[in-house]
Amino acid sequence: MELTLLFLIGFLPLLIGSFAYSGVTLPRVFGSNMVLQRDMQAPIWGRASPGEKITIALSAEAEEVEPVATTTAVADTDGNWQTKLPAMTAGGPYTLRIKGSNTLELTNVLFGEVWVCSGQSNMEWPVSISNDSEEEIAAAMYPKIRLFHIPRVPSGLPQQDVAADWYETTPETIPNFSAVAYYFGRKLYKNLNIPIGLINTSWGGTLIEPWTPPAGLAGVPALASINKEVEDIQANYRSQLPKKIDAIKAWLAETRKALKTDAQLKPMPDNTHPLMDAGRPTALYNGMVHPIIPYAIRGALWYQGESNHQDGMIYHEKMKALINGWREVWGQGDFPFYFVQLAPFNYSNQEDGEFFLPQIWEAQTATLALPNTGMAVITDIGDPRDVHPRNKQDVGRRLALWALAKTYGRDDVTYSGPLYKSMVVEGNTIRLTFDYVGSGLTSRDDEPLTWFQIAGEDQEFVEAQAAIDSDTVVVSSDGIANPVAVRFGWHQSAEPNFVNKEGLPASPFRTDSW
Amino acid sequence: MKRFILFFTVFLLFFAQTIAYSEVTLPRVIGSNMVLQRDMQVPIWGWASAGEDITITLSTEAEGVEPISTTTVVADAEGNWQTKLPAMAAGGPYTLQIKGSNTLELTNVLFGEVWVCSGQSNMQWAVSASKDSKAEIAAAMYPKIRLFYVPRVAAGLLQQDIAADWHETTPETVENFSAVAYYFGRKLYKNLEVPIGLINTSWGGTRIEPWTPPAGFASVPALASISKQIQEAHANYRAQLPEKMKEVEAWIAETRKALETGGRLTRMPENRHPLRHQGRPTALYNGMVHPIVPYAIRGALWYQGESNLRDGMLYHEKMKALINGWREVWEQGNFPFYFVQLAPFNYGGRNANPFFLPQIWEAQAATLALPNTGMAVTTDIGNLRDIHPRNKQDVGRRLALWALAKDYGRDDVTYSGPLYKSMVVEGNTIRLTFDAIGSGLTSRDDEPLTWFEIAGEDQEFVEAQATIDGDTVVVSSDGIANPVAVRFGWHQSAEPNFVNKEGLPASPFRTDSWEK
Repeated sequence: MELTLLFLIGFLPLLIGSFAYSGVTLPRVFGSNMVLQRDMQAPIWGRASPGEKITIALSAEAEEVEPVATTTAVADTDGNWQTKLPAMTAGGPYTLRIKGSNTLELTNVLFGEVWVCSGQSNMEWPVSISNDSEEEIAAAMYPKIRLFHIPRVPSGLPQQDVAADWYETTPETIPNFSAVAYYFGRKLYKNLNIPIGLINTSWGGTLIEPWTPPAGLAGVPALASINKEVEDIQANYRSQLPKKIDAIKAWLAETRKALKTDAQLKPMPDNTHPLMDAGRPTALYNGMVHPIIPYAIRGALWYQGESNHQDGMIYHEKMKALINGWREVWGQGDFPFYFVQLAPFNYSNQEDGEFFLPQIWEAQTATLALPNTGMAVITDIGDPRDVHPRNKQDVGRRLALWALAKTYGRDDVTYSGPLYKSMVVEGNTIRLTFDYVGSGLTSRDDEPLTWFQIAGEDQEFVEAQAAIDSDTVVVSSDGIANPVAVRFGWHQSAEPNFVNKEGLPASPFRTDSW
Repeated sequence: MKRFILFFTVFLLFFAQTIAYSEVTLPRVIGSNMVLQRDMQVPIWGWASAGEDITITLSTEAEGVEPISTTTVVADAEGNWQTKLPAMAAGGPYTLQIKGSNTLELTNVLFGEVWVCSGQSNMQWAVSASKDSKAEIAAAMYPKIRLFYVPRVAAGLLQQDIAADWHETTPETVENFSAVAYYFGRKLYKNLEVPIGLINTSWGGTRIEPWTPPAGFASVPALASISKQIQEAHANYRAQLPEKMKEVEAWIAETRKALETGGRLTRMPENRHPLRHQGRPTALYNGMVHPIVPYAIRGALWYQGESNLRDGMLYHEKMKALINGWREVWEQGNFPFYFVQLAPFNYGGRNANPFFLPQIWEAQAATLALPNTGMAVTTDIGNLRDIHPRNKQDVGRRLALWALAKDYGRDDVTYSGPLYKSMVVEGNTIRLTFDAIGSGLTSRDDEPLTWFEIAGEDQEFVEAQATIDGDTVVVSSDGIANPVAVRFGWHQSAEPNFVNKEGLPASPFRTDSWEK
């Protein structure tokens, strides 16, 4: 109840801001305490009166110093303006003054590394209910890690703003923030020693489709039907608008009269967009991602898939649509996109239901074919009885390993567990080779390797012995004289022990496509 | 997803109708397959052009016969019209024709007994999730029991209509319908053999305040602060409207331009009423009850209270507000209002106090002082580990017993379990008398009576022996020489065995009103 009111109050200024063009306004992602992406010309935009001249000055916080940089922009006929700040190295705090007919002053602004963190409940999952929450919260004094938590807003039309603010990381601000995002950011901060900005835009129980922009859906032929559905709905919404506007005008007249006479008020005609629902394609992109575009970012994190766990390989197509779509709308090229492979969990006891999850793992792994993607495998830190494993520290850490190695040039970092590469049949065994062997292959519990299966032409998989032979694994079973295929970790509750010596687990895989 | 689109389409139609007054339209509660209340002049209302003449004719379904009744009405300056049909005996099917500049024809209309069924999850709880669902669903072929399921709508302002339709009871339609309402209606149908109309307007997890109309709060001094809160919310909404209307006008201009140029559309400014949330007082009355008022009904059922668990005796005031409020807005006098006393349950977390629930029981029992109310006690058919007991058959049946006895003249029906009436101290015992003893008091499991406690002046209750003596119960404990008070079933997990011979359990009670 209180939340709703708060939410409502949060929205009022935003709506008024977008309609009353009397002064310069900024979207709320530009605010005091923000982190702007370093080493990049960061876009800055907002609204003003048409033709209004805007001067943007970046200064050190000390009084009376010359600005570090000054940029100007002119609002177009619709009142929109956009410009770019010169690239800055990491540091701060700065003050940003945006001057038109009025002046806005943003203080305590830093330059550093900005990451967008998105997905469903496991991304949204807050520090307060994750492992060691008490100690973690008490220790969360990181004034240079800044948090921006976007509220849940589905929308049929792209939204221009969100009701959120930037905060320094403190024991007060961290409890409800995404644990995965925070532990990722903290790891980066400790390694890079520069400001970190984390934008958390996530919503429990959501599918991937709502997060995907139309451009993403349009780019993937396999999703043509979803794309068409979105296009049709948008066209229908547009075509019913003239009539709806008439109804709203009638309501305006009626309400004006009622306000004068103290008569009973009638509700404003509903104009809910059919896509304004957290379950509909593009709805969360419109409401929770579009408003921050094109805020300069280093990259994005993604932890989602539980709600799509029966999708099989089509999930790979959907990930393509999401990643391509975000990259297209952001206009920043193929920025890094690192995602979490789902943890083992007993989703289903229906027949063959235990293989839904492995197929999502496969779809996620296939997505590594896209440029600048990375995947954190977490088969060893899940909980088959809890779809929300509480160890978010290691999830964040493993995502950060990808960033450190691939985005920040830490060549010494091993950032992935073994990924299946190829197989050769050698008599009654199959020899597997892997990428990302790190400093060598091993078993995390020193027991024989688990969760390997092998099959002959009959496609009947049986449990197999698997032995590490330097950088390869040799798989066999007494019952199978002519093996054809191997599966590893191919079950929703599989928690295999096969890792590299850095402790990063191998991703489940199958060599067949039966 | 599909349901959402359907819902949306339905809403579009609905709003298109209420704004464009060119044709006669009806609220959806007045539709084909409906049951109209028998033996009562039933209101029929709707919208049309201002001054439009409307003729309403009721006919049997056969072609070419003279109408049974014809009523005429003229729409007022606002386009509203309302009239009443003459009272009819149970029966049908009939066709109802509403003729203005256009003609609406409602078919398969019956006259019978109409009940509104409301509350939170235990009222909403569907047949499909209740006991014996498969067999019950398969057997649900009752074309003369008609179901109207009001969708969930929270509203700050009074809504004029809702997106629902009347359906005959079939295995397809009963599945998601309220089990308590259905079993109540089925019991009536089997006993009365007249058509039954059930209006299910319920929403899981909701408190009582959202279901209460402003008039209800206004009638109960103890709830003055809620009345004030509602008035303020409306005043605030009203005060911000001029500014909001300017925004809407700006949006209209912008949108018209975008439509002409093919430009990008923006979202219409939100105009959310502060009470438009299912947790806010009056919101569900506005959205889910008002649209069916003043549809003629026999009475109402109510199964709610879990979400008000910590209210104590204030819940009694809130029930008064609800009942008074509904009776006032319906303008049908003190129509029957039968409610279910909550079942025992091991509430935990912030509700862990085992005496919260007994106090709600007490508040519910106290509400029997209002005229034409009744209470179904369910202490014997709950489930301590499940806040949604699956046996809804007996809940519906027990509500129906009240209706049969009080509204349908079945004097032979015992409709209540024993209700505490008075006590007398007799030496070291206390003798209790009861109302609703039926054909005698007994123990449902033939074991000694359970969950009786007794205390002396020190207010320390101890377990007691309780013995049935004729139509009284005598309570004592070896340790208490001078007893002062008795409590019965005074714990959230109490499932006592004290019943009357008809098997209806006694309501929990206490003879004291001590703080602890």
